[in-house]
Amino acid sequence: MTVILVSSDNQDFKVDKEVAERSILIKNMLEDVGESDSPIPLPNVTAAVLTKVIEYCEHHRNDPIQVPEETDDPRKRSNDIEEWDMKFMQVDQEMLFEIILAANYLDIKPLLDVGCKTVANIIKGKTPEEIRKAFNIVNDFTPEEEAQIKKENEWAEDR
Amino acid sequence: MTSSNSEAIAIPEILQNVFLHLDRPSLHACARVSRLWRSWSLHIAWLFYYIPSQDIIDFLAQRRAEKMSVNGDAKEAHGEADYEEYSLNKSKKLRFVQEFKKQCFRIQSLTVGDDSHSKLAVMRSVDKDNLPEWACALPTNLTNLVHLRFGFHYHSHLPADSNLSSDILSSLISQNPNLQHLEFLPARQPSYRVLFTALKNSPLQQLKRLELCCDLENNGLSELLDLLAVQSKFEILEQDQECSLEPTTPGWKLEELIIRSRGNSSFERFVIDSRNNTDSPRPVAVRKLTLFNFCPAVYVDEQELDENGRLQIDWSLLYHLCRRFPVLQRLQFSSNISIDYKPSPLSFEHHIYNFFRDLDEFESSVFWQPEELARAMIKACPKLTEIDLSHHRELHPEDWDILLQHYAPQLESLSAWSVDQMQPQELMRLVPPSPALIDQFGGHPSQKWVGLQRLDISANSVLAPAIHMFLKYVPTLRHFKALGVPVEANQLLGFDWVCTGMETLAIHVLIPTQAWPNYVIWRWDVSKDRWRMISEEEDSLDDDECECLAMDVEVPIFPTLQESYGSSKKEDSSSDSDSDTNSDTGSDTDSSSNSDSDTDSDSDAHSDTSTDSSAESSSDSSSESDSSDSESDAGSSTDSGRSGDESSAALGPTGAPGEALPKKRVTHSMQIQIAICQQLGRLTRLKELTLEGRQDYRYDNKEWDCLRLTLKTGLDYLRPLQANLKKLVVFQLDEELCGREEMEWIAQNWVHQDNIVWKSAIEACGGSRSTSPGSASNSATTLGGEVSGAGVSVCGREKVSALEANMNIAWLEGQCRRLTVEKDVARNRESFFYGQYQDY
Repeated sequence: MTVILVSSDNQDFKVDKEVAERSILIKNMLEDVGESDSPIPLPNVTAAVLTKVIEYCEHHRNDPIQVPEETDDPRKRSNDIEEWDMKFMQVDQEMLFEIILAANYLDIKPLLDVGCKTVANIIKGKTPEEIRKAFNIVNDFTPEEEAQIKKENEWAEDR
Repeated sequence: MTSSNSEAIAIPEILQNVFLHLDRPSLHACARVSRLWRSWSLHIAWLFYYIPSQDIIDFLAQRRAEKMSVNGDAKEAHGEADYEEYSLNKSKKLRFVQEFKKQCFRIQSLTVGDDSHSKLAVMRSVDKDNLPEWACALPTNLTNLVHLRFGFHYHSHLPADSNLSSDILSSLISQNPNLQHLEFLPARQPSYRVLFTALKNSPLQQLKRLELCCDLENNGLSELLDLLAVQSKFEILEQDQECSLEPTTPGWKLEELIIRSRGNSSFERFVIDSRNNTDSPRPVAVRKLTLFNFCPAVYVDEQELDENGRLQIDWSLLYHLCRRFPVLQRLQFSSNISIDYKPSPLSFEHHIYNFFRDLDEFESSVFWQPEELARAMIKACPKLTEIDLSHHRELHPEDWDILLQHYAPQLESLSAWSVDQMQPQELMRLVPPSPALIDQFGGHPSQKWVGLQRLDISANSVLAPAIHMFLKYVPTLRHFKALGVPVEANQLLGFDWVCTGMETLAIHVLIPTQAWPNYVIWRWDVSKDRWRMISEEEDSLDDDECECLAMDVEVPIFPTLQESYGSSKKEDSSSDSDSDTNSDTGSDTDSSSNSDSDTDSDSDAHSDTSTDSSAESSSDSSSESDSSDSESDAGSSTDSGRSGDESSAALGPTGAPGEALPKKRVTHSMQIQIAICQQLGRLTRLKELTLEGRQDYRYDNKEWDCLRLTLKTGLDYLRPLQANLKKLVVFQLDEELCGREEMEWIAQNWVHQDNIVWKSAIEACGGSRSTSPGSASNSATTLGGEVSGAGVSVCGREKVSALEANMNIAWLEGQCRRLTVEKDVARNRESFFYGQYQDY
């Protein structure tokens, strides 16, 4: 069975139901509407991004559904990205964040994780100034605050 | 700044998700980026905190009275020379403590003390004599803990202030009522009674998981269960004429109880008390119970034995445990030996016998009447979905049969390593009938089974005949371990392994060195609704339904292999029940040889269930009462007709091929290895693969070969595993794996995604077979061996010496810095353990 997904720029995508249901949002929508051929609008996802998302879901269509692990430590590794996923995420930064937003909206946790891991790998090893530059973030600390924070962090970075 | 960037980073859950992947230095860098980033990075950085044993006093205690000058003490203790350094360290620590007290409200997971005996606390010399001067002083805002791990260790010859550690533990519990996970694993002090007292005084209504690693002594288990039982009340619910017990106490959430014994504790006192208690046992609302490293044996007087030398069931620890946990879903009562097992000269089975010395003494310690314990368990715990009764000796085969029959529809996990009372017949309760049979029946209850996902039958060599049935008919299997269970390669071939979602596989494959037949026949018994292994005599009663496993290879396998690899899979080919190739031809040779699928189709065509079952009086031994489908692995014979007959007729009394068979001989070992590699290569989701085996292995009065994992014997078929394979363990295999070609192949195909050095070297050299001298490190040249060339040159040989193997491994390690290679010497061979250990 196939479903039709409609991107924000009104492009239709015909997708296997099994693939589409990698998105928990879509899965729940399909369960709510039951057997229906109505297209599913995705107003927050452009065609370009939806293409990538569908590509990811197709590749991982047979993956077991991730069950949240019972662990006290939700910290994760960022250095265990599969080779295919790594290549999949070799996109410009704008697309990377668009994919993350789409994964968050569509509730595709594995894709969201991979996206966040990729961002984490960009951050690692950078100074605060380099991080700001990489992501175009404005430094909203006052000079006094910044000095205080730097002083406090000196001990923290040693531990 | 692009809108998507700002939008994505501004969403807290996304930011948090990113930060959860960062290490501490990166988090502190993020804390200086902006205010929003600071708040979230600090939140993540302070989620978890660890206080070593020697720092507990600084962080969680204070001096009762200033009787002596600290500085005076310190100078005296350290001497003038070291005092300055001591002061600096102390000043630094003070800042840590201050920051801890300021930020501890953020901490959700706190580890206090060290968690292993190897890290014994070293008390500061200035403090060890003044311990009574210290009192518990927790920061008042340390109140948001969700997880507490308390593993306070004292050095054995330093004074132990049990009051201080006890007070700290009690205060942490009382101050954090929202604890969900509590781990208690001190070396000696405080004792478990301190914990029990603390839990009585401050019941943790949110507690979901309680983990103890200590010695509970005689009454400890009883005390603990009584403590937990008090806080749960049960209500009998009637549903569909079945009664179930559900906890009704509001706020009671404990789901999991884990108790690890440090020694080899016995719960004998618990059993005796339970027997003597005439009241109904108070149930505990725990759904997952784990008891590790406990001896299930109970010492009783001979007068307790009945005339048959049996005991009453209420002497069983397992019996009493099940009665206390009526809503149990996971029962794990074994040892964690298998988790820590690493390749060694000893087989897994020997490893177990060395670890559990009592095994010789209690080799058949089945004390009860058959079926009694199983029925009691089912009655007490009907909802079990995960069972680990490894290393148990108190269950009869009949008990296993009843247990597995009852739990099969809902069972997700079974761990039964080293349980010698289980036979293949019992284990086959977990294998549904074949799809062909199900079609024939028009459906079967097994279609609603949840589906077994985990199975561990290591160190049970008798269970080998059942292994292939799981690979053939249990597609849900994701973790399968059968270490120390040698299984003949031919049994594993002739069909496509259906469990393509397998993530963990540990298997010992016997490669035949010559052709000999072997009969392993499984037949579905319709009257009993189960698989049944039939004997050779029974088999001869009904040739129409018989398909035998024969290891005879009478046709050129290699050409068949080549043409069938990559061909479309054909199930249940009906063309040749008399097919010539045996199962060794591998997964895709259905068109030519798959006698078991052929069996299915033939038997479907020729023998109808109803006809067969009604033809004769049903009896256990009568084949006519069986279903039309019999299950066996590919037999083989060249001539038409019944392969079973052929095999029987062609074989001599020793099982060797008779002269009547065509004289087409192939290299059994090599072709079979290729076929096995083909099957392994289909398991593209494998994350961990353990291959056990030994060359010149003598088993069942025959000599066997092992998987060599060379390029000539099919290593390249494992290329698809590169997608997910993280850990490969090969031990006791032939040393040819460490040939240079094979090392290159591993480096290129299994570790390349992390091997930047290798990839760069490959690109620079324009391929794997060209290099300039010295472009890569090559320890071989420094060792002066015959191996020539730099790292990427090919100089593999059919056989390599131990020296060359070492050099190749060293080269591989040099290429793949993140690859861990462990070697283990077994006689003249070496076994290797490849794994990727990645720092967090």
